[in-house]
Amino acid sequence: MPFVDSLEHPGRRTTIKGYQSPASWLTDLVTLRKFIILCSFCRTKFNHRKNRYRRFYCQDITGKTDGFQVNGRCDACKQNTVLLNGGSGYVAEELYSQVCEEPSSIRRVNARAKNYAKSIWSACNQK
Amino acid sequence: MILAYPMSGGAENVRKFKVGISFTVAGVPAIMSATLPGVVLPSTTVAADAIGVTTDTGTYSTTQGDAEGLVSVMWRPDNVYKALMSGAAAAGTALVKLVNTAVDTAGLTVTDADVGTADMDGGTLICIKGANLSQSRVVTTFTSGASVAVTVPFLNDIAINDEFILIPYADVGTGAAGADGNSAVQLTSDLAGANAVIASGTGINVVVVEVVVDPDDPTTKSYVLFKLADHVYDIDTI
Repeated sequence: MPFVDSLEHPGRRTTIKGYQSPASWLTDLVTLRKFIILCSFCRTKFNHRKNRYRRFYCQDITGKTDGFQVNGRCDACKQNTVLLNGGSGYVAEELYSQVCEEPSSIRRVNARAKNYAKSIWSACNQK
Repeated sequence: MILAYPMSGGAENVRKFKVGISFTVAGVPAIMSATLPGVVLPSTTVAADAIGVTTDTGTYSTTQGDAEGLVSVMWRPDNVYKALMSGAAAAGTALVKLVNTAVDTAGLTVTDADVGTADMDGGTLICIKGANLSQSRVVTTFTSGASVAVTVPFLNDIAINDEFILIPYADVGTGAAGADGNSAVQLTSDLAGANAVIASGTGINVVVVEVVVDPDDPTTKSYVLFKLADHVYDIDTI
């Protein structure tokens, strides 16, 4: 089995020959509808709505984060987002329902399941 | 499949990996390959050395000048994933609804030829219509093409036309035959869902954490939540 880090994609090129700007790399990612990670400093420069992206959400059962935090290597500055106040993840809108759930639907399903066995209407209706 | 939550909480971690095969669907497991130059897809039954689940798609190319294929992976080994259960090998098929044909005043046995032939001993029987609505029990006896029985009785009698769904998963068990509903999930043909009409204990190695049944639409909106058991950062190979 190969060493895992050797399989990690290096991200945008930053060598003298073939240097790619953060904006150019992000444009490439958006064109290919890739997942995008940005640190707290770089995310202010990315308009995810304009590019048909949504913020990735995953409930945090410990409550330490609001659920919207995603860490990794920032696609713009290439720094570890853990060291930059935490990052954000952006998913292409068309892939959103395949990889994560929005917080409102999680709350709705949990509430329905909690009340299901207790409801008089449900018991009478015998679904 | 989607990310439900990391078991120990905190933020999700995502890394971009080079691909050794094209990923055409998002939300599928990615595994290590001994021979190909990147992460690859598992089969529906084997996902040894999994690295996580993808959040986008990627195209593999061996043509000079093409962009190097990459795919983003949620790689935390404690991630719990949520897969939609399907009533066939193809994703998105409704689960089979069992309609009881014989009264059981002991509350133990559901009789219906639709139980099929795949051994669900170790799975879960969930009532979706009748006096035992929303109750679930682990299956302990499976009679092919005829009935399923539980050891802990349902609270009320099982009447004719009571409806149930039978799934091969349970959040309890030892992994041994007859108690193996918690140890495996077979993937659907697109690798993004869970094939719920196979025998319990069949599929990729996982730890089943929870089964979630949507009360409004139990046959098409029920999920199994699991953690990848054979994760490259967790255990090399089971």
